[in-house]
Amino acid sequence: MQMLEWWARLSPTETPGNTTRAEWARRAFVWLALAFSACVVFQVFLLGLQLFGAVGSDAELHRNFAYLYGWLLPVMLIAGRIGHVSPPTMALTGLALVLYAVQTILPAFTKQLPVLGPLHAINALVLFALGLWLAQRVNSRPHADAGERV
Amino acid sequence: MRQLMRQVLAVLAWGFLVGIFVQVALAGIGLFGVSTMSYHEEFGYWLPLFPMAMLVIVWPAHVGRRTSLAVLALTLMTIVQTMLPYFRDSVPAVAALHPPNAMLIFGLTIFVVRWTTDLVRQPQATPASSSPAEHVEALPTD
Repeated sequence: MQMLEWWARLSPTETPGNTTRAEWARRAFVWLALAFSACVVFQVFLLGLQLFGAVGSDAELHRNFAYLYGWLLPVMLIAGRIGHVSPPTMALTGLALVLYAVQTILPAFTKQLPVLGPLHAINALVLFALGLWLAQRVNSRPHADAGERV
Repeated sequence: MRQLMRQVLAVLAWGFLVGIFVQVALAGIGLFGVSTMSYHEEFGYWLPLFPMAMLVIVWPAHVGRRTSLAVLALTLMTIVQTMLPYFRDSVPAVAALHPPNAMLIFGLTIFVVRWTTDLVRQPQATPASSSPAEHVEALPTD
């Protein structure tokens, strides 16, 4: 219950005083989304290092780095809430969070179901594209994306 | 003729996007042991044909500088992509750029798909005085 109240307080009705805060939050949202996509690219570079034998054959680097940048997505949700981004953008950010969670658990199931392996690779592409799209969506129309609240 | 070329360009861009998905799925199939990497390797040599064909069409399609440069970049990146694994033994760190380069190709392809699709959707009638580049600049960015 307290969590819900805290979530509601994050996005108060806009007044001249907190409009600047909303703008900063939208700007932060864009940078966080870009950082997320950059992390996905670095993540597959770490996979490449392992695949092509630059760092041995263990996927430990690739695996461990995956847990380092997952926090960006919940922070994006908070920034989106403060920045009054539109409900579809918030829904897409939520979808990215769900896909990220799925991405981290998929490799565990590929031993029993190797068919899930391609999904891990394709899901990485989707996450990368979602990050770029969310950044572009909020950046290209900062006011229009603020939804009906502005 | 110009509109037809633009339609062909858009179809090729969409085809290339689908091809990237298939290629990444084939990589996943190879990595997780469902099959060998040979399908990924074989298909990888066919995939650059898409941006190469697009590069031939951008001029008659009059798509403007932005899309032309993006298609040129896509062609170069795709050719480099096929060469990167050959550095496996000499410079493995360079070969490791193969997966992130695939991501960048994918990202750029999304933009090219969008721009070429927008070009097909826009009204045919254009003022005779406006250059193709000016016309493309007038497109909405979102």
